[in-house]
Amino acid sequence: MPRSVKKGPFVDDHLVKKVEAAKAASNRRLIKTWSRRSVILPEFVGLNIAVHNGKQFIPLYITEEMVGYKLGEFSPTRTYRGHQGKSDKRSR
Amino acid sequence: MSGAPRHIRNYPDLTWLGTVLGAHGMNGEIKVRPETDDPEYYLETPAFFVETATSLNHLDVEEIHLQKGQWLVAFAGVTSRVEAEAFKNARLLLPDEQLKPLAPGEHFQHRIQGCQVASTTGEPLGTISRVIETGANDVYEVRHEGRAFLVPVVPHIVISVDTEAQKVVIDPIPGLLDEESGK
Repeated sequence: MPRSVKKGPFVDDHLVKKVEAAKAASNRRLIKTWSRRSVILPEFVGLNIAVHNGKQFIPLYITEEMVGYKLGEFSPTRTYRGHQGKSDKRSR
Repeated sequence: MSGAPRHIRNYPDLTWLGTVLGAHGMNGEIKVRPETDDPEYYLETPAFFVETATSLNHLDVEEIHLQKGQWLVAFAGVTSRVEAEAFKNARLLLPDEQLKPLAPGEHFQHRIQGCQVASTTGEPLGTISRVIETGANDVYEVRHEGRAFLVPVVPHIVISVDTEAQKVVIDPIPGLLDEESGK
């Protein structure tokens, strides 16, 4: 069953405080968080947030397309080592 | 040609495009996992180099189509399931000049690995050891003297990438270089 609409999206309080502080100071400092369960809000767009994957903080730049997803969806917890050779995988 | 993982050979003028998962159906089709970001681009490919454990052959394609993100390939001369099963774990390769052209700002991951990373002030920061795909921006893992840090591939941080000179220039934001996870 989906979350009740009247509650609004879930975001951990400690993450909201960090985001508000970063926005108020308008600094570009990387925000580190363990809160993979928090939903990405429109207020997060343009911030650099590093999300813990159990081992490392994966740095992400939050864009409009990511709003509504949870932070953990962009911080993979498993390492795929299938492309060690000269393959057609690209990065941009 | 059997199941055990083997050492991957790199060819100077061939690029790995797919890995054969096994036979499909009874008429000699094989199922291939694409090792490319754009499998649809290669649906018109007339022939592939097929590398098995013992040989490298040039095989003509009779038909190729996508099904659930995997290629189903019918090679000329392969007409039975038994023949198709012999290709299990083989690699499909293509000459570099037949690859999809790079878009502006796009780079092959294997060319990025090994690049030296420096800051905008010229300070050397390490070497890129791998590229992590996150679903959002890609992330470079940079290693230097046993420690590692991660760099998000976004325009305001990664200023330039020169794969010919093996050099990447970044403008690290505060907090980016703090992490230590050399394990």
